[in-house]
Amino acid sequence: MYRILTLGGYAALMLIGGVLQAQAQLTMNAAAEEPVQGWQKMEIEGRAVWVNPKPALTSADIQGAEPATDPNYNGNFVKVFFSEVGAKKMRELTTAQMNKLIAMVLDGKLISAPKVRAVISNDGIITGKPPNGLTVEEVRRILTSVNQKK
Amino acid sequence: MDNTNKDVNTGEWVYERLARLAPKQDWRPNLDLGFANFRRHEHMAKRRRRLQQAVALAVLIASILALVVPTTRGIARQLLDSFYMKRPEAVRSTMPRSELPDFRIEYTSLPSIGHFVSGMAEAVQEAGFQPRLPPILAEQVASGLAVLKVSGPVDERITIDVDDLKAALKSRAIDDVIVPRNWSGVEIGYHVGHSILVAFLGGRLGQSPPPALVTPPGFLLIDFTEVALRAAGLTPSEAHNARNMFAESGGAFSIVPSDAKSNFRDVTLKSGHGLLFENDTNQDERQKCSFCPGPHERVLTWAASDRIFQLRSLTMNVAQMVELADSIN
Repeated sequence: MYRILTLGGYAALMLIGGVLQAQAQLTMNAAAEEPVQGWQKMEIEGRAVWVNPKPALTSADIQGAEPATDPNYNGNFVKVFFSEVGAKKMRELTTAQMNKLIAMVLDGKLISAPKVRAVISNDGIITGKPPNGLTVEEVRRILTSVNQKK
Repeated sequence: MDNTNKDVNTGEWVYERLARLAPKQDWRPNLDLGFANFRRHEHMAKRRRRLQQAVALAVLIASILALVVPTTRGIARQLLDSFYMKRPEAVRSTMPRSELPDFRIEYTSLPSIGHFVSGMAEAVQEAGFQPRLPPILAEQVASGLAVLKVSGPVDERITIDVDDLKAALKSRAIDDVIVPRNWSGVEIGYHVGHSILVAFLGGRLGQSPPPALVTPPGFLLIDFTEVALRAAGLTPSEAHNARNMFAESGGAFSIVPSDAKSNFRDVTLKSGHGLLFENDTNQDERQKCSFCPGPHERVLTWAASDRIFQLRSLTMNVAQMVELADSIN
């Protein structure tokens, strides 16, 4: 069962003219609701989040991703499947951040900052704001980041 | 009132009772009887295992058609000793899933969930065929909004054991079926090549060249199917009906248990016949039959001359699914 990475997290991608960047980069970082020395302050949906500048996972740790739509709850979302190394990193990240935030950063912008409710390892989903979820462009950029890294 | 049992020493009483159960001094274990009982239990366990194997055999036939990953399987057009999917069919059983046998198929090469490929070129290279996509999905793949996965191939082979088949029939008190002795040792092979799956926001479209069911020349697969399905629990009329549908479909049929909430019906496509399953409930029925949908899912399965397709969606209505299917050249 896919675990929800973004519990109520709002996607807030700012895309410029819908033009894709070939080098789209998705990272997952430890994050906090309170200031942390050395962590970068970012904003999402009008709230401040402090993000560890050192990514815990990058696109390279994700084996693949696919789009999906859940009309009843999540709207558009992306399923991500971690590599073996990525699964280990994700397990460590979600263990360390239990009941704290993790940040989904796409091309340097915070798109989601869910609170970790369970340890995640092999796969997960990146959701946006219900009921519509991620925008089509957000989905496209996440997929591009993950699937065209080869 | 006093308790009349207050003076009873319960420990002594139990000891006394247990002592009465002790064997007599000259008692010796009956080894012959013990071994006989052991052999009888072993024999029953063996029969149960044989029944399971026979059931697996029936399953091979009954589920012979699933595109390995997103669950479509197919066989159709009958050749000398090979069958290829012609049209998907389904028949509703009068028995609930719990009373149908557990389908177990042994694979010589295992089905996989598929792996991601970076684009069309890689998919073609790995799968060995050019996927035929609706223009809108081809566009989405090119722009990165839809992704491709490749899975397979899969090979299965099952050898018929007439004794197993007879045992399975007997266990269901079926005595009106003749199992030809020359079926013994016959191998039935099932092969499906690579499958290509497109995952997009509206659902998933899978396609594969028609899987092949291979038997020795002259083997009456359809007869065997009817017998195997009887052994798998279908009534005579169900099995006979399924036999005819099997012949019509080339084997691409699914048995839908009576407790499956999904509805299914034929739909007309440009390429011919399609089979649509709809599940309006929260129940995941994918384990109930080959074509059965997940919660609130629609599944459209159809065959073209050179391949089979399966479209799954949570969001598309029937008209949209048909339109998408019809837009494939």
